[in-house]
Amino acid sequence: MDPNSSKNTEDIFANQNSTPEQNNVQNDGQEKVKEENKKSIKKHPFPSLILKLIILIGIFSFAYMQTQLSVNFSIFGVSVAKEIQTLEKELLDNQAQINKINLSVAVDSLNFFALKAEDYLSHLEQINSNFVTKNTKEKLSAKLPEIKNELKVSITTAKEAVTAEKSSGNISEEQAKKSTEEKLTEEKLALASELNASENKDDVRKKIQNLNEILNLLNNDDLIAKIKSFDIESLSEESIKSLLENIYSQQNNKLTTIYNIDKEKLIWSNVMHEIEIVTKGIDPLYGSALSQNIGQIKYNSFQLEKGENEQEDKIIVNGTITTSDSKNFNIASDLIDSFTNSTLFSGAKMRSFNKKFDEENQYIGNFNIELTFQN
Amino acid sequence: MKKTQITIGAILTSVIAIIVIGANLYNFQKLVQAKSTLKNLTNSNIELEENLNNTEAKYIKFKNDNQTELLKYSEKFNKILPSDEAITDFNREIENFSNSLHSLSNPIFLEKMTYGSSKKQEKINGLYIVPVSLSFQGTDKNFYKIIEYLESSGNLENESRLLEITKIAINWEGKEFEKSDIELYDFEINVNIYLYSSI
Repeated sequence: MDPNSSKNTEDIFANQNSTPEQNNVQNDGQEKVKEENKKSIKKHPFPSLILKLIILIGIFSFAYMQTQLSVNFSIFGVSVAKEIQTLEKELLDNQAQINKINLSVAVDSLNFFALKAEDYLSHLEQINSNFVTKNTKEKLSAKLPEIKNELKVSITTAKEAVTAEKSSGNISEEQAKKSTEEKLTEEKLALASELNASENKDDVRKKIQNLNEILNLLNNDDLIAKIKSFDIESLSEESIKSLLENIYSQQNNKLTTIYNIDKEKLIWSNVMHEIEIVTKGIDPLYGSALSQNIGQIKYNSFQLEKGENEQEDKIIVNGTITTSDSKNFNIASDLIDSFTNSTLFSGAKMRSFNKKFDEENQYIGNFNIELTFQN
Repeated sequence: MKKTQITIGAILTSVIAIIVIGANLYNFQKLVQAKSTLKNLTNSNIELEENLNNTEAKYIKFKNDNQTELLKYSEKFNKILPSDEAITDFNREIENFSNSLHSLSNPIFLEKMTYGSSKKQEKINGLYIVPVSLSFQGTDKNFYKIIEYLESSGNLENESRLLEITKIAINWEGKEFEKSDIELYDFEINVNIYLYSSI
């Protein structure tokens, strides 16, 4: 705002309502005032200019700093904010890479631990078995310290890897975890997209599987906590079994899959052995050389079927019962009861009984028994 | 009056100047903070890069130290639980085992192998089964040996393919083997062979 302009406007209004003499006097006075004003204005040009200059510089300075604090402006080169953003990303990437490597070491070490643990437990089982000779037991016992040492090395490496710092000063653990997960997922997707075109598909699959295992461990706080708190010095059979159980139930890879399937397998030779024991209880000659001629029970077929779940597993055994005293239904009933009372089977079913007298003066009857397993 | 007008103008200019200075001071403070953050981040990144180099060096050493063992187990796992159907490998495995049992005094013949389509398993992510029907004619001894072999599948020692027996059907009405007193029985064993592809 110019102070002279307002002054001039007021002078015009003052001149309109006065006589020529008054005007002359007034004009003289006004001239003086103008002179004084001019002088008074001239007295302060420097501070006013400075202020304007300050404002001007201030605006430029503000604009400059604003560009430095914004990631979107690059008029004056790379802004500080942009540099911070780039560095933060770089930090997250580096931390994610460190976490990935540590988790990868942990996964491999846990797999080694599981394999060694299986070996160790198998050795212990044989040492405690009544069917293993003393010599073999001594050989097995001699190997135990070496396997135990390998177990310690594996779990120590895994423990160090999961205990390694997962974040640095400027990054929270949560941010680092998210970044690691994103990095692993990106790598996995990139590998999956190149799988079809790849010449070595198995190799690509292995890499994807490895990334899956790392991702699985990254999100498995429970297993990580167990590894961290694992007492390596007092390594015992119980502590090995407990950790092994955790690895098998919480990790998803080929080793754990093999174990989990193996654990749920139905051992059919045990089933056939039990059928033999039950049958011999009724017909002591069953399975012997004499059974062909004078045995009472002869099986024609076994049909063992695994269902969708344990309740649906079933066994159908059928055959013939031969007697000279026509007690075929008695023997069939004894067989059914023995199956029902066995420790392995339950629910032996047979609802149709038959027998006939043959040309060799013997009574022959067929049986068809359906069995289910005890829960 | 005129002096007052000059003062208002000056005041307005001053106010603007103060606002501008204030805004600058505020921004300057933020910029100083940002520079300090940048310095901290740069230092952290230098430390982290050093840490990354060390971790990578340790990782390379770990891999080198365990390379042989890692490769050995990886190959074993691939045989036991392959990433694809690997039907031809399973054909060879079963036929070779069956032939190894066969002798004139204790014969066994693998007569037929029939494969179904692979199915995804819900219980374990990435797990698939391929149903296979195996038909044999052999002695009772060899029948039990075949069962024992199939039951021990997924064994790290003999690297046999992981499978599960789902059905056994044996006809105990034997047939005479080449006019000898050896009896041969027909038996059919259904198994699910597994493959694992967690992609």
